[in-house]
Amino acid sequence: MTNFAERDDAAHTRLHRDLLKEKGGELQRQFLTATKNRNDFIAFVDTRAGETPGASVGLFQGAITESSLKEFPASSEQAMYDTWKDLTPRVACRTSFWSNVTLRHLRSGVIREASWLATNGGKNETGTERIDRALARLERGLSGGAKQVDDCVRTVLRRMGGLPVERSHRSVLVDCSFGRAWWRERLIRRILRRGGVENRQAIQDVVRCSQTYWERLVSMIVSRGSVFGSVTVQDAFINSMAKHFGDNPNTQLKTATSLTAALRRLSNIAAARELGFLEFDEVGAIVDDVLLRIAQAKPS
Amino acid sequence: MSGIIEIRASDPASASRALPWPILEAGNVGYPKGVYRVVVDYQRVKTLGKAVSITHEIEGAPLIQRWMSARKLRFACAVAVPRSAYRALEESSEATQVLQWEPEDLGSHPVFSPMILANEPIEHAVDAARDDLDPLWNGLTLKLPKGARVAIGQIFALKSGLLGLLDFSLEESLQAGQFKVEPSQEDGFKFKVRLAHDLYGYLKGGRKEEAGANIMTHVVSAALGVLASKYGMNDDNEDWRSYPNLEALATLLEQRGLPRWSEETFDPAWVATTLHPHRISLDLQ
Repeated sequence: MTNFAERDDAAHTRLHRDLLKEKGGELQRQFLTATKNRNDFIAFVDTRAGETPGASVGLFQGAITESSLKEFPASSEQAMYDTWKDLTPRVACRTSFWSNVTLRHLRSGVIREASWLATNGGKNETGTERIDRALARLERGLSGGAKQVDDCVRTVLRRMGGLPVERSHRSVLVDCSFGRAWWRERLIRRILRRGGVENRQAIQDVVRCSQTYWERLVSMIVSRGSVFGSVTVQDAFINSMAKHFGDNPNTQLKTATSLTAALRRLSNIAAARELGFLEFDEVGAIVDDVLLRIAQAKPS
Repeated sequence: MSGIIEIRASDPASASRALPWPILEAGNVGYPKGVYRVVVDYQRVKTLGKAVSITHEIEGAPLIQRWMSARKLRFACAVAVPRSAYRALEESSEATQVLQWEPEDLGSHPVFSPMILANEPIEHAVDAARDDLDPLWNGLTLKLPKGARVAIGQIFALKSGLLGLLDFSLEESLQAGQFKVEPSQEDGFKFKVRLAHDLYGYLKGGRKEEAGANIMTHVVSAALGVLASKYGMNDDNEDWRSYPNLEALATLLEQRGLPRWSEETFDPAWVATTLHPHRISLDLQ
């Protein structure tokens, strides 16, 4: 069992909790001010949640830009998984681990600016600009200033390693750029090994359909009472979606609403039948039928 | 040494469901006298910390018992760790099954969902009296597909974290502010924490502010002291390894770089305050 270096778990959780305590408070202001400067940001985190000793993972050798850090291209996610293929789920589900990976990429300059962690939404606004806008609004006492500062802080924490305090287990898989890359690519490779859909692109089209789409899938994967009672069901579901997307490029199943409807219908079936007991192809046939019905239903 | 987790059809349930065949589960009157019991055998843990043995038992549901005898059913248990996206369905043709997992796949303690499933499609004409089913089903022909749920048990977890080892109870004879900690081996390894009335009420209310957290740290420190006196300073005494939750606690300490209770450097107060540091507010102004 390899122990990897990570942020001190208890201190890291405490830092998250302290930062979220007061919207627009002094600590949030200090944190965002530090985020505008890479070295200040690293020092801010280091002094409050230091690194615990352990094995180091390799650095991603590709280029990272402010824009790509929000959502890495598929090719980068593949390369990242190759770099970190020795990680196990025990480690890869940890916020303190991914926060440390992000900090290492900042320290080495692979991520050039800490402010990139704050970038969100509009394409024309950089992380620095977003922070400046929020801090200026707060300084002037304008309405919404405290919330904007709080939103910025949350974006940084989510992107750095996930924010499970607020967003539960799914945060590492959905919000953290590096964590999402690892988990998504792991899922794609596992489905490809099943030998159903041979085309990687088709699976990518499903799991990268949109951030909301990915989040709905992840929510099903990590929720306690999920219909995905075994990885066979997870894989068969996404495999059938990939086939359906390939055969029906304009399918309404590409909307998150339809995905939710399909998952709900599958849940109804699973209430009386344990789908994880069936073979991959048997589950696939059930899912195919569900998808067909949802796709043919009139949009409400 | 075992733990029994039981559901009865007569138990209250949070939801009622309309299903195409009767299922033995809490709150479902399909099998009015049905009882589904899962016995968790801590002694028969195969690979310590990586497996647990369970036995499925059915009472008061003759139809399910006949199907079991005819080997039309399969015993199963879903093992899940939502945090690390781990999902596995372990199945067995025998009522006693061993559930195994790889610690590297897990991010926290697994949650177990026992169930009994149709191993093959089953068709059955109901005689409610003979089958001991609710009269609602009388005269109907049940058609169960492969994988149909026949019985659904209580979800349970092996609490192997340190706090999961603590079992709190009220001890009226204690003075205000007092508590005692004793080891208990009745149902896996536990620390019985007996609390005076005021402390019991305070902690039962889920108080998470400083005082509550600090009391908990003190309790943990005392519990670790008990562990050290019972198993400490004797590397040959490996009795504790028969308890999966203590095995898991040993792993946790190792992961955190802390000494185990059998090591000379083990200091209960230091280990407790490393795992659960005291929280104090310093108002320096």
